[in-house]
Amino acid sequence: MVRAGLLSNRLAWGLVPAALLTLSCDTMEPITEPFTLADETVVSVAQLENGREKYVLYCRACHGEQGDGRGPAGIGMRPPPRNFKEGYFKFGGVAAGELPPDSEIKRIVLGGLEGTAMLPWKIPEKDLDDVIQYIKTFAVDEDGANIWQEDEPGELIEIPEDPWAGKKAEAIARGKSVYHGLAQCLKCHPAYGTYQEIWDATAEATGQGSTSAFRKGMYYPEAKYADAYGHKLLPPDFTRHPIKAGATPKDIYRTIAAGIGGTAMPMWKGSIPDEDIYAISYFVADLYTMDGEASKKAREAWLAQPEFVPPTPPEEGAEGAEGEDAEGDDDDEAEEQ
Amino acid sequence: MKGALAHVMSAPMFARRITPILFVSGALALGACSKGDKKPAADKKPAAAKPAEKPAEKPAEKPAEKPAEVAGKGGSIKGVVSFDGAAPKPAKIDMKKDPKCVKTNKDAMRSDAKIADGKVAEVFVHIKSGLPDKKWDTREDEVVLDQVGCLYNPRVVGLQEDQKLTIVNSDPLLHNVHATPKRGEFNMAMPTQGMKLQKSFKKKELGFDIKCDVHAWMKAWGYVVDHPFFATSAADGSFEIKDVPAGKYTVEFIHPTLGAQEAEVTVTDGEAMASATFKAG
Repeated sequence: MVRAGLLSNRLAWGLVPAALLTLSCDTMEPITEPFTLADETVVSVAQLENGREKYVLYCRACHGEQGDGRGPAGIGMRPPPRNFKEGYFKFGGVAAGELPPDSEIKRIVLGGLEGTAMLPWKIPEKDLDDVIQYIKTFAVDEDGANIWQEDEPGELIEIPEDPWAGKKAEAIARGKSVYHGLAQCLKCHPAYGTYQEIWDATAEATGQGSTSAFRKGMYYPEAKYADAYGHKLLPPDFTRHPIKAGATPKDIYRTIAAGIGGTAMPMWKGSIPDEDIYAISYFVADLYTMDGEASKKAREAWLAQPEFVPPTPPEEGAEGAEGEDAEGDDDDEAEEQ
Repeated sequence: MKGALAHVMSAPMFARRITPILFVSGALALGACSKGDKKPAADKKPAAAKPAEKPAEKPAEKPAEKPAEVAGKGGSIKGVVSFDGAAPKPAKIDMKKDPKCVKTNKDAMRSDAKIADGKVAEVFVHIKSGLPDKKWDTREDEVVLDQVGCLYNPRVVGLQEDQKLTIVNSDPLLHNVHATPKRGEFNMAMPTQGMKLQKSFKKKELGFDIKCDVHAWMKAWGYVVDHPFFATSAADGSFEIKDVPAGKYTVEFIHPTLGAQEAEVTVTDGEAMASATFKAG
């Protein structure tokens, strides 16, 4: 997968010399105390010291001396380097909001994050283990308590066998329906289909088609406030923005099932069937392969659609007489308020 | 090359932003280094050589106040929360971003404080101090947080640590329930009508947000304490904290927007009264 991802990876290599240059000036305080994690595991001084040394080598340029994501090479990066002080992780493979197990931090470090300056780092295993323990020492909350010493990592989200193996086209079709119908992903992410297709998707989900599932401006993503960051974040448009934590159906499954820590993206595991989460993953992976010109053309066509006339009588018997026109009136009323 | 060009085209903002930054930041890193390593240069800014900040020391635990000895079988703390002044006017909520919400709750109104006849609803009342230092059994009564008409009901959710909270979606549309305490944040998708799930909070914290990211106007507040002695005031401002052991306590009344008040109360046998009055402005 290329696009913005490749571009930024290339540019980000410019950071490596910066990282190396900082090697020679280890101004950070040596560690003298072992570190006990919430599960009573004791990380030795030797491990922490090696971790600190390797942090200076690989991480500090961007993630900063204090682990706050404000290293000299990280200034102005979009997205900014992770702030390890807060204990938030976006793609931890656990329920959004929980601490990731070491295996998941390794996955991110070794695999990198597409479209960001976080490259895949081939760090020797022992050193990586130690760096991971070391970065935990940064996460001290307002009361002076270290989050990793008090809270254990969350339970890994189980990724089931691919229920759609060998049935890609079916998976994409089902995914498109779930995306626009059952899961209503288009409440935040863009819609990728005609009015008719979205109507049909809502009908498939609820037994009755509906135009009230349509969001204003639904062919674009809608920025959502993210507490952890103190500002709005734009949910990705999968035809344009990088999918950071891997763009295979399996990787996308993990991200959707777990949700994204600190953001509006909730955990989906348990909310809809696993095979539907997997189907959405196939659909999103397919959108991601669309080239820029094709996605532009598709969007232009959707935006140029004539007003939608529902093919069947309006939903909900009791209010049936009001129909969609009445809703329009509500909108006018709301505007006057 | 054509490919590479296409990449640039597809992310022009990114390229424009990051290219100069990389070079500048590289230079910065170099600058920071030489400052630390070489003899003091003309520029004596000590920033780069600052030692790593040590984690702030844990605030010294206050010596546990010894609960006053009060004889008696214990009882309940009852009272009323009042409001002095003109109650804030409710305003119509603009739900048109989600037409389905408009459909389910046409005339939704919101006010920062629910006040009727000078009485305040949704005040979280709990024993703030005076309880013996012990681990209390977890309350078993069910607390339900409903999402109905694209609003939360109730808006104030009081819980003991580990007490079960049942979250329900009564709306035929997607909500996500996103609780944001400092510890134990969760964010669950609830796309279907009638869906239920159970959650709990491990650590006490007063007044964190529970919100729906799909509908920005939806907000509830969580109050989690480490004991079972709390209640939320009803529409008539009344509340009752049951089965309180005999003792002398400070009771705190917290409202999400009006603020907090305290009252002293001594429980011996039967009912003890504690009340608070919030003022306008």
